[in-house]
Amino acid sequence: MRPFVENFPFFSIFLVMVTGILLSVVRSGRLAMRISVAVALIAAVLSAQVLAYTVGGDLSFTYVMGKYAAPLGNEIKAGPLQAILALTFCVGMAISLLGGSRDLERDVLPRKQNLYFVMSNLTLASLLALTYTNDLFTGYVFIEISTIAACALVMARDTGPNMIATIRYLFLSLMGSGLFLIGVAILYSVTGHLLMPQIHDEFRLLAATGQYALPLTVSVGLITVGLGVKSAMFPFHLWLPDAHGSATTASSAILSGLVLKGYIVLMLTLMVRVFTLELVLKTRINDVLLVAGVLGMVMGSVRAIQQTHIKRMLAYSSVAQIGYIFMGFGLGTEVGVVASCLHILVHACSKPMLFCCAGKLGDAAGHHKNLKNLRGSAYRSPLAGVGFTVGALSMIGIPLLGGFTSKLYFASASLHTSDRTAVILLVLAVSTVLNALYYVPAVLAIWSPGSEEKLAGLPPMEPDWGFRVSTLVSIAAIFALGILYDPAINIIEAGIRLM
Amino acid sequence: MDLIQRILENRFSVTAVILFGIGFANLMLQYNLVKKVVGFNIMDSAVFLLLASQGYIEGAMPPIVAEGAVEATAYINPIPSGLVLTGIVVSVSVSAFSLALIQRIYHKYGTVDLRELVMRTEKEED
Amino acid sequence: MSKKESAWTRFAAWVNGEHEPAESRLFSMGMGPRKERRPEITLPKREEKQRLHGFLSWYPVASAVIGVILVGILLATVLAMPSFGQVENPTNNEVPAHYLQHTREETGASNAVAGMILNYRGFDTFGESCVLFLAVSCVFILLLRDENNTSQKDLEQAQRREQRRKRRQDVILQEAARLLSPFILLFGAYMLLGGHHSPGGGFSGGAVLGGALILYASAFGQDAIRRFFNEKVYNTVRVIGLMLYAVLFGYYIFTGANGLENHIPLDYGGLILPIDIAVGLVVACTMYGFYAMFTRGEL
Repeated sequence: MRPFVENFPFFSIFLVMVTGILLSVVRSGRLAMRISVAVALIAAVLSAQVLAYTVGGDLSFTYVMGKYAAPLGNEIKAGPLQAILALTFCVGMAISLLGGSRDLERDVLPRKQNLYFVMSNLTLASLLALTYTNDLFTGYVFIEISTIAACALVMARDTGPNMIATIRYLFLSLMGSGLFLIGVAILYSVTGHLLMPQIHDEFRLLAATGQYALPLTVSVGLITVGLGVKSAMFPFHLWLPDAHGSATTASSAILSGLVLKGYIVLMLTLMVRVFTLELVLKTRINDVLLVAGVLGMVMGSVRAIQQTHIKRMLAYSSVAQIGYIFMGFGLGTEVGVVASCLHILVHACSKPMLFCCAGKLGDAAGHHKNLKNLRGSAYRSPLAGVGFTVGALSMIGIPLLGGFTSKLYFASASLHTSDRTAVILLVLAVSTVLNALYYVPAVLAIWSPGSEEKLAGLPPMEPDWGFRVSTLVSIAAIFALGILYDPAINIIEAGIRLM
Repeated sequence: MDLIQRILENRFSVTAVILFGIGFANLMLQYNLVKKVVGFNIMDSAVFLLLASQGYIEGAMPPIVAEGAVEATAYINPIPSGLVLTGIVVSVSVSAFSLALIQRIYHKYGTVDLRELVMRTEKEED
Repeated sequence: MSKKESAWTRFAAWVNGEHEPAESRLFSMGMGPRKERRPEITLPKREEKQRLHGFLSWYPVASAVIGVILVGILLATVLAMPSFGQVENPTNNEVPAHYLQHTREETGASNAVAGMILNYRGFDTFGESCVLFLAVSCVFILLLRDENNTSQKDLEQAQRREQRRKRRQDVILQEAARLLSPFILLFGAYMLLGGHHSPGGGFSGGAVLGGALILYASAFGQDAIRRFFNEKVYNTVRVIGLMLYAVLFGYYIFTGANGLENHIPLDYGGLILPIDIAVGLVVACTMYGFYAMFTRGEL
């Protein structure tokens, strides 16, 4: 009999999935929304328990999904890193749903609102499963669940541009999952296993003897590129701005803040647990990631500067932030991976809030999304203005906020590499300046006094408690990651060690 | 000669890879959305062929086990068959989803050409 | 020479979807594209065209190059991979050997594939059933009739089509459906219930059941099916199928992982049989749901 708390990862995955299935027979959209938020919070509590248990005992554990242990049956594995990521995903989902609830009620037809929450719950379940899984093929199945559910979240708004954005997103995602699947097929046929620890053993053996060197390298490359396509790695980011910019507020928040991270976390698990960082360094895949990350950091920001639509600007900013994460992986050192994990947490806390605040500011300015029409909107909704400002400053990297910590860790991680320190420090500096170039004008625009007559005709803002709670929680999380970052770093380091 | 020998030995994998390339090129190059779906289906079928061919053992029986103790090598490997089953279900679902989306897009815009659609949405957004 | 060229141009036109074969009339179905709904296409302005032209001219070249490189790499890879059909390949290790030798006493199924996907790796298959559920929900969001996707004109058109169908009932189809539907249903049920000891199982059996429903609906109209299979029943069956799977397998995982006794008898396929039935219900509902949504937009 194992400790009861070790059941919690399995409970949280199944709870969220079953809720998603049952919500398809709930008629009222508002009830479905309340249930979804409550379930996300319950899953967050369960993940927090797992976090306390694994950090307290400095351990990680495998959990057999069935009666027969590896290499026969499915398995999940939980450690400190998985637990903190799961906690972040659950809280992020609750924040996104609460913060975007008003827009959701307006954008989605009442009859189909419950189906929207089916999708959001299955997205969360797939994120949890991708975080915890110890089996490559489970990874593939849940990647597909996450793809379909995420596409449904984009198209839930049901306008023309929205559907075209969805179909472009879907086709590029399918290309990514096709590459991932053929990579898995090749890896399976040379190693003969699907569970990660067994693949790792075979992989190390084959790497030592030099047998099947080409198939191994190619499969690592295909899996990495496939996941990269799905998580908007630089040259494959073209679908992202349209999809994230045109979706309803809650969907943009979920997609930018959480869904992209699910694929990245799977890639991280594979790199650390299966391929191991030394062997990845030998295949030179990490150089590809480094170049893609650096280009994404710069090009994403450059494109964001050109945008006038606030949500598209935030979407391009996501491309840049994903670039940071891939750059950390590309360093190929443990320190770099730790910095990337910290950035995943920071970004998952701030991006949903930025999108929710942008949606609220748009409401305050009379359903405009263009920056020049948002002038003065922060005075009509001060909390949204404060939230947007805090999020923007964190993304730029102002001290005391989360974004500063992760940038600091990226910089110190670059010192551990021999020949690339100068380049990476330079790119970090350039991208910080570029971030400031588009976030500062946006913040100035919302706080500058707008034309009186334009805003006078608008109806007064209704109080929105869900939005208030979600924004305050996110602001607190960003400050916590910026000031008390030591515990987070310790958890991540322990998590990588116990992977 | 050696190369031809290798190709003949791995004839199923080679076919699968060429089919994968055809599907992949269709998925990327076609502007007609329906043809993109066809390309995606070719690509997925190619992966299934690759997987299924990995499970085959020459002269072995289908994996429905007879009573009594048996040699494991008398049957083909059941794992790739199961994986292909999973893959087929996923590809059916995704095809249905994308076709439904294309039907709605055609209903609204009267075209399934991606170039035209992109140009028209850019106009709508201004 | 000129003939060859024209064949080539015809082929190119066919690939591009511009050429319409002469026999296309034979294949045209009753429901052609609704020409009158096609909105006016306004040509984009010249400068927009040029801007997009820049992107469109390099994109095909780049993707063709990527495709060729990808195929080259993959060809080199598969030639270095284990040979086809050999016993000593890495995939034929202790895992399939264990499945084949112990599937009867551990899962109660003599079909090793069924034992593997529904017992050893049943969590994957639960995810897979959720993919089906998800796909049908997405099709619902898109095609279920509502004020966004259906105008008054569309509704009238659908009604006219329905009346036309009622006036001209297809005798051959109806008689065939009346004769075949029971046998197809029986065969589907047989595949569903015998999946643990013969080829078949939840996915294939469910697809056959769904096929029978589709045949019946296309012969007698969806009103005939709605008498016993309306939206409420549909949703209930679908959710009950998945919940049955979730509860059974959740119990199995919980007892298995904690080392408890699970009290699941292994006769008649053990866990496999009820899960096959659950999966079959979900798959049948999915297939019929796709048909109903694509043809009429309602159940």
